[in-house]
Amino acid sequence: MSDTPKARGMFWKVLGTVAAVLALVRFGIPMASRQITGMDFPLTVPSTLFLFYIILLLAGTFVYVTSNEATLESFMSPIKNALGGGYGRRTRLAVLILTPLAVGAGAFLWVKPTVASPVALRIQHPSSNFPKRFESMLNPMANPTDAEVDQFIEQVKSNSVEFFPQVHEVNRKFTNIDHIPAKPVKEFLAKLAKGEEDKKLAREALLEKRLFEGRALYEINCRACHGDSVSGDGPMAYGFQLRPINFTDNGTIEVLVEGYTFWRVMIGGLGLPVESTPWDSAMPVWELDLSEKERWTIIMGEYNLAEKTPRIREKLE
Amino acid sequence: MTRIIALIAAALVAATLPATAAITPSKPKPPKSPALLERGAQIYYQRCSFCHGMEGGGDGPAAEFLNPRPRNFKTNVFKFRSTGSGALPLDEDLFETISKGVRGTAMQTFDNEVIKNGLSEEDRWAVIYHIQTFTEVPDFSLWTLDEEYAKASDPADKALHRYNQIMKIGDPPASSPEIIAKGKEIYKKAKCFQCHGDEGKGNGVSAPGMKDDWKFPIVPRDLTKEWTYKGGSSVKEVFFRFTTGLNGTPMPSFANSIPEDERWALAHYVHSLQYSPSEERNLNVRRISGELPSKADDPAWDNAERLDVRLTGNVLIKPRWQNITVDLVKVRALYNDKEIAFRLEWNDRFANVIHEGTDELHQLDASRPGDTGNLQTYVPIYSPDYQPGRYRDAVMLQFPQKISAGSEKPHFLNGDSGHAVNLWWWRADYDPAAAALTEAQRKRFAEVESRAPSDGSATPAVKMDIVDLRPEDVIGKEGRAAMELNAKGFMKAFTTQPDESQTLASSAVFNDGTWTLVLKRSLTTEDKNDTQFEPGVFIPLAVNAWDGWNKDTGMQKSISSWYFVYLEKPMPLKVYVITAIAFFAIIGLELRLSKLWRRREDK
Repeated sequence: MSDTPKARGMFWKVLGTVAAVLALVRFGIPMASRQITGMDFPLTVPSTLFLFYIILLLAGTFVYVTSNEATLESFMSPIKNALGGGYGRRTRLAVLILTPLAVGAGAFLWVKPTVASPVALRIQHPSSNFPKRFESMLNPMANPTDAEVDQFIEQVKSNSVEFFPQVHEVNRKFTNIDHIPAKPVKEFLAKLAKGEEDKKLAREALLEKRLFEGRALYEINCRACHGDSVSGDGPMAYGFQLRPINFTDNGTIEVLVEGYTFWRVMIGGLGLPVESTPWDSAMPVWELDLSEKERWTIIMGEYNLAEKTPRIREKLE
Repeated sequence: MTRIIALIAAALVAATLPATAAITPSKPKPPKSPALLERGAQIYYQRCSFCHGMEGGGDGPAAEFLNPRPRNFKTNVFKFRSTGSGALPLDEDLFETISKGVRGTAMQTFDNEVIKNGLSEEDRWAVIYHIQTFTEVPDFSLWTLDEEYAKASDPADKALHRYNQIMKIGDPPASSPEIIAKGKEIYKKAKCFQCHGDEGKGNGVSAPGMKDDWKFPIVPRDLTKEWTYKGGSSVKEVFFRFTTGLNGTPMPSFANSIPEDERWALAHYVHSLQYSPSEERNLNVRRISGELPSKADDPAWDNAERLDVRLTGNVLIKPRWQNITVDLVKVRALYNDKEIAFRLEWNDRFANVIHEGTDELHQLDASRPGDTGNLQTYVPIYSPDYQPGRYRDAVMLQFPQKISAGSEKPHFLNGDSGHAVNLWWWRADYDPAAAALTEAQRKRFAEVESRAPSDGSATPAVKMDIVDLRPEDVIGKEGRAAMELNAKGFMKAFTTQPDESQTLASSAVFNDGTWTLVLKRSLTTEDKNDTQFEPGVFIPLAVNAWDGWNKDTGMQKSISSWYFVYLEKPMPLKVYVITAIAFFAIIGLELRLSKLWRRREDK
């Protein structure tokens, strides 16, 4: 059994293995990555790692092929035959011409300068110019004072509930809260009709009313880019290279204190430091067009729509 | 071994299949119940009412700014159905619309498998049942009537039930050049061009001034833009649109006027018109010897690479605008030893060559009609007095005035206080193309008028390039069509460069709903306010556009993010040297081995 089946056709086996492994690394891994990450883009194998694979592969096959005479002989024989004329003159000529052409083309593609547009690294949540005072801020709209609650009860009773102009104007004149089908609102109104003033319910109803405004303001001002899904996929989003943030993502508003979110809404893209590529950001400087109260109310609506809560600031003092 | 290969192959195939979202329910729909209806009302309030209105009237707080306007559920009229014209949709049709959304509009997907805070299947059914409670007339609704039809004993009434009005269709035939050619015939025969235009760009003779059933302006779809097909762009979806018609819009049902096989052919033809923009962000500019093309139709442009620049509305500053029409500009460029030429091509249903708006490009402080001071952060589109007047078509190329070595750039919306931009602004009303268009259109009018029927019946429609042309309009303004400007952000007035610095040459053509413009300048200039074009450098490029017909003017415009232009450098010598070395080294080695092995065999 000198000519074991293992040693037969070694050249083609080696060629096949090398091609299969390279194809797996080059195409298989990126394809599988899409399935694993669920993203619509593949994760490619880095070029240095790719080079490592090639080296390991070649070293491995070299050791295997040279491990005994039979395999080496089997591996070399097609090469010797092709070049020595064992397969006939025509094959020999074809190999003599095609191999250098293929290697030359490979070398050309390898050294040819490739043009890839520059990519800027970007820090998503910069802190270099974040004023400290915002960090400890609590959302005043989500934490109404007793005076505000009392005022709200009076407004409901006199049918003159105040809404932000953007929510109230044009053809939708809200003067009360009975259009809000939330449970606390219904209960509060029912008790009020019976002449009872439940402060605790009133507070909850006021929060529902503010949430209503927050959602409405969000839909008017932010929806075009961030989407009514708050996933950064609004109808205008496609046009921006720096896509609007997806608030349902675990790495965004959930890891930020509310004061930070408030600051970002305030300063917009133009207020970002250089490490956050302000030149690519389409975020408006809302300080110019929305009042402080409107911005806090929007943040309330935004967290609520995304089904997230802000990060609680750790006690340092 | 074969088993392993089969497994790997199966894994690879599985990896390439896209994750499909559920647009058809996976479970049978739950029966209508008071509890489910109450749940539907809660979800409707939280997720739907801000656009569709508390009472379903399509008048929520955000509705003023949306085009198309949110569906008014009270009228019980629905666009996307698998039922016949005028009929109510199936619950499953509504399920599909809620699940996949309406592309290019504010109505997005609500599928909880696509978005994290989406609605579960049961939630979607609950909402569907809830919106069937809205009605304009308190004691009468098509939905209750439909329920009565379901219970009716008279077969004639029974037949009117929506589930008995499903449009039955067969399997779509495969696409082929023959079927597309046949579809093209049908497109002519069924007079689709009347609204959708000869080449499907939505610019037919009947297109101007169209209204939907609620008297809101509506335009025929530009069928070349794949991403704007609201009900989906596949052959089957297109087929459904003209089979069932779009209730509430001028789009009728062709179920009775065109046989099914011809409708399939038409669907294939319409599908063949679709263009999908590439995602490439860099324009590679080839160097040519000899003169650069200065006309739009020069065949030299066929050799230039193309960049698809996507535009979106200016949502950054007031007047914010989310209803743009120019959402794609195809840019090509070529250069030689002296000059660089750009060719811009974009679809615009009608040419606008008269301008009654501002010439200022920055953010104006003065409030404008429809802009009620600090109140409206976006421009509402349904106000009757919103921006009357006529506005020009225009386009603008933007480059940083100084190219930074790092990634730092001016802000993409016309620069910022620390970084200036160089702007190339072209205006249709100053271009000789305007006069040519006007003359051609007036000729067509005169010709039709001379043939006008004497009995006073309606004169046939005239093909319109310019929709708002009046007899007293004087076309052919003195001045440059293409100007060079500089800006440092949208808050300050843009500065027009002095006359001696204006060296930009332009040439434009408007043909059947498409503007094509060539802009040419020398690669380098003496002017420090000009962008200098150097081969081998990535030069940021952005595009702004105005469609006068869409009332775009000043800061109310289409804008793009930064893209890049890269002037190709000649191939370095070292590439050829290394290639040659590799080639000859292998030949040498081969000859040597071949000699060695042959000699051995000879022995």
